[in-house]
Amino acid sequence: MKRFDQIGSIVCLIVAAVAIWQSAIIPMGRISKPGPGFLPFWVGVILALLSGVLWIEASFRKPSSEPVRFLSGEGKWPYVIFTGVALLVYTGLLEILGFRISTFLLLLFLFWFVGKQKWWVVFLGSFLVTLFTHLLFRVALKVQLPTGLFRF
Amino acid sequence: MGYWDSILLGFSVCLQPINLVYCFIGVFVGTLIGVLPGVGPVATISMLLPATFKMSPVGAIIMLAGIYYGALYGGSTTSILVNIPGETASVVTCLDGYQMARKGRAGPALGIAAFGSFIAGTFSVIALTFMAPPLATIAIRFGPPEYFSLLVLGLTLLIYLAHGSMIKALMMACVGLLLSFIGLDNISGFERFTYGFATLEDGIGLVPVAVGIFGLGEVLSNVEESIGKREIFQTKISNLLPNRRDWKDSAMPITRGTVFGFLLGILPGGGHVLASFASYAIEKRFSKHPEKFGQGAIEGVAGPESANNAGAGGQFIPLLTLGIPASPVMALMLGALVIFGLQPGPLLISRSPDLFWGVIISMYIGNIMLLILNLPLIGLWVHVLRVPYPILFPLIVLFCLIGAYSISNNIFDVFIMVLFGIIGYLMKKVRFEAAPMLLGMVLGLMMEDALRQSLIMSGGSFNIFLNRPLSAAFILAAIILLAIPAVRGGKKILFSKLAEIEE
Repeated sequence: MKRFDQIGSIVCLIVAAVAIWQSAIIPMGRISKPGPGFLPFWVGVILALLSGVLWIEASFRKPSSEPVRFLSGEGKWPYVIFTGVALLVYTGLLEILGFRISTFLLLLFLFWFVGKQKWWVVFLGSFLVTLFTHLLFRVALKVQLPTGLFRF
Repeated sequence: MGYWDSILLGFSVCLQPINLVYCFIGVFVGTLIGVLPGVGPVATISMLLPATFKMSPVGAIIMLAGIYYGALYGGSTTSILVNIPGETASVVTCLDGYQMARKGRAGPALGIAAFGSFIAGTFSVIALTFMAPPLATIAIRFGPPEYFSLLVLGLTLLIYLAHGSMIKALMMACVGLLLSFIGLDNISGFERFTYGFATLEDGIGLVPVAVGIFGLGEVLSNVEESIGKREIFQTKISNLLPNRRDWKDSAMPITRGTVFGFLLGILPGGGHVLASFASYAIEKRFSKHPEKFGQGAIEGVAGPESANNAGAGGQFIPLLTLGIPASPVMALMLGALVIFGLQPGPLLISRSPDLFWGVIISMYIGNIMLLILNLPLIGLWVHVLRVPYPILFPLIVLFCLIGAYSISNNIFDVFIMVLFGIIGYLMKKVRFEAAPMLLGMVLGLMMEDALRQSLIMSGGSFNIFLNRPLSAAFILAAIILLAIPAVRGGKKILFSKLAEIEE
């Protein structure tokens, strides 16, 4: 936990530095008439100070007996990484292939690779869920969903 | 209009068949998502918000409110039977609820959770009925300094009650505030942190961030922890009605949980999650047998379950009377009201009495529906729990994606949702709490507007926050909350040094 707190404090310090730098570019105004950069600047300063305090506190802390483990649960780490990557790819494909095709492909992947289902469950499940969500959201609730380049 | 006329108006609105159907759908969906681990009320309300656009405003808010308090009922079932909290507020219910189930007392645990929730939920609605109108009258006199100080107090309270490090919670609140500043400045129209992206001009939406952190982030954690291997308690659930001894042991915890949870719910930043944690700590402290906590003490179920439901009712007070969302769920409610052209705040009660009273009265009826759904129909929810997670999680992911996209039909929101899902997973691992960040994001622009207006009013003097009694009281309370841990920490260091010297 100690090491991750130090890393976290550095990430937050970078966020704070960007906020301070970008706020300084936009008008800060006066104290009697604060501008759009006023509060972001000071929140950035406070975040930078807190990041420093956390880094110092973590550095002087004894190592925790309860270490943080990433991607180490019983569920095997590739599931987490591939689920994340699959969702990013889905985001990229959604407007190209449209909701129905890209959702069907995403579900195939999730049921097969992460869910470890039998092939007929994978295909039938993906088809039925895609159909159900289309009917529920697009037809019944009239929610706009991307149709993609194929208008499908 | 007097109280009774208002209450009758509320009943006339709520008892319309269509609104009863919306109320039932709300509490049913709420219980369902409460029972299912991995998706809470924030993610569900976010997902279903676009679906309400075609409804009447009253029906939509009745349904969304039902989802919220319904989830709190359902969350306890999973905690007690599977030892996995169905909802964040039910984390503490696992400690004693699951132990009761292991000892063959799943029935009384489920029963006292449902009865405690019902009693607390009903109390909070009664309190809401009678407290909201006078508070709205007072709130009309609130100026920017009072709003700013109250928002500071709310954020401070959430940080004070954070489960882990207070510094980390403060940092997360700052990150949330910075996220809220992205987009056009409300007062000058100046672009901030947009980097030329037109989609960022409206800022980063709360819904994609909330769905990402609380929906997708949770799913990723569950995928890693292999929740598919969860085991449901295989004993027959019987004796749902607690016996006399159970009632005797639970009476005071329910009373304390109800009152404390409601008061904590009123304050921005309080909310149902913190109410349940605080109630557990209080009950352990009040108990004559604190050693029994964690081993199946019914007080450890009755107190927190009552507190989280009372807190949920209390949260409607700042929203409906001040227009301040006390939590991310309430921010979504505020968003829904604004979409329907209504402005939550002191004038809501006089401008839209049908909505105000209709929603409040629907909560009485919703609580009765929930008692029926959660006791005689408990078997149904146990079946839902048996759906394997590998089947369930692609559905949750899909609903998250649709919820994020359909709020403004923008693929950028889906990207933000996925990004914050990954960030939420990482934050959970390294114990950076998401709640202060989300509340900072919710309150950020309101705080900024109130601060800038106050400073313009005072000609740049910060004394304006101390010269006005209410504002000064809020600021003083915030300072005390921030100072307590520092004093405690200082004392601890001092005593340890003294001990070292003595040795």
